[in-house]
Amino acid sequence: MISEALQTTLAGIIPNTFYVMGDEKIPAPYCVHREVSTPFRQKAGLSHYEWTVEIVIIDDSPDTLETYVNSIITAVEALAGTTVSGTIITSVYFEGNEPDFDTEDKLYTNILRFTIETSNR
Amino acid sequence: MAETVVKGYMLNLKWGTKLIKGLITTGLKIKPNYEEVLLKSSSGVPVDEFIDFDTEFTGSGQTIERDTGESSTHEDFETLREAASVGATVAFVYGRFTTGEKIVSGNAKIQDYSEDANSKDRGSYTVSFKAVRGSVTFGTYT
Repeated sequence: MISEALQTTLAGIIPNTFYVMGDEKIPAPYCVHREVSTPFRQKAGLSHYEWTVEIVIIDDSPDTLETYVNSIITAVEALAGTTVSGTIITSVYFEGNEPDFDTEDKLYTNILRFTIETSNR
Repeated sequence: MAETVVKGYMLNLKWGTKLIKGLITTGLKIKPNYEEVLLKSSSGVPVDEFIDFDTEFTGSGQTIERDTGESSTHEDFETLREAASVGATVAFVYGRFTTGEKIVSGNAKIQDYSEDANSKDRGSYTVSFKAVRGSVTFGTYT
């Protein structure tokens, strides 16, 4: 699944990377990702899957957070045309990002959104 | 005999003897033609007399090029594009491509062909065919 490819890619940049939920006690920086799939069908059968991907990056420094954002965008886009854990990734589109600041925890966040197309799950 | 639900994917279209690559949606329209006649025997009340019928097909899908090994079994958006430009008449088959299932077949020409492509998603094509009047038959797939 695409989650395995993202987990491996993101953990290479931010070791504290979690699928869907992160540990509340984990120290920053950390990263959480989730993927929602939509299958597409043709007359010939299932043609591909489109994944709506959200990657949330959390850090206490806006500067390092920005560095992580750029590194992750580059790394995730580089997945296009590769096969990871059996998942054939045909295209990756960066759809945009949403920066924010958590006043309670004094942490900077940035939500990155991608659309990823795969030939299989 | 139990009823059979015919799912959308089962209704397919062949252009010549070939499937169309990337095809997602197909449509069929049969329009009977009538002529109003007024016979002495109908006591002055006009009736519609069946003359013949027109048959049209539509198809739409994604711009996926056929593989080199599929050239004998598939058309794709680029071959349809070319066929549209020369106005060729080609045999068609529409229906369920399972032995014994009902099909509509005959000869048709492309009436309209268009493509649409943005900068992110897969491109799409739409094609419509009009059958040559009198060529259409209703049979079973063999």
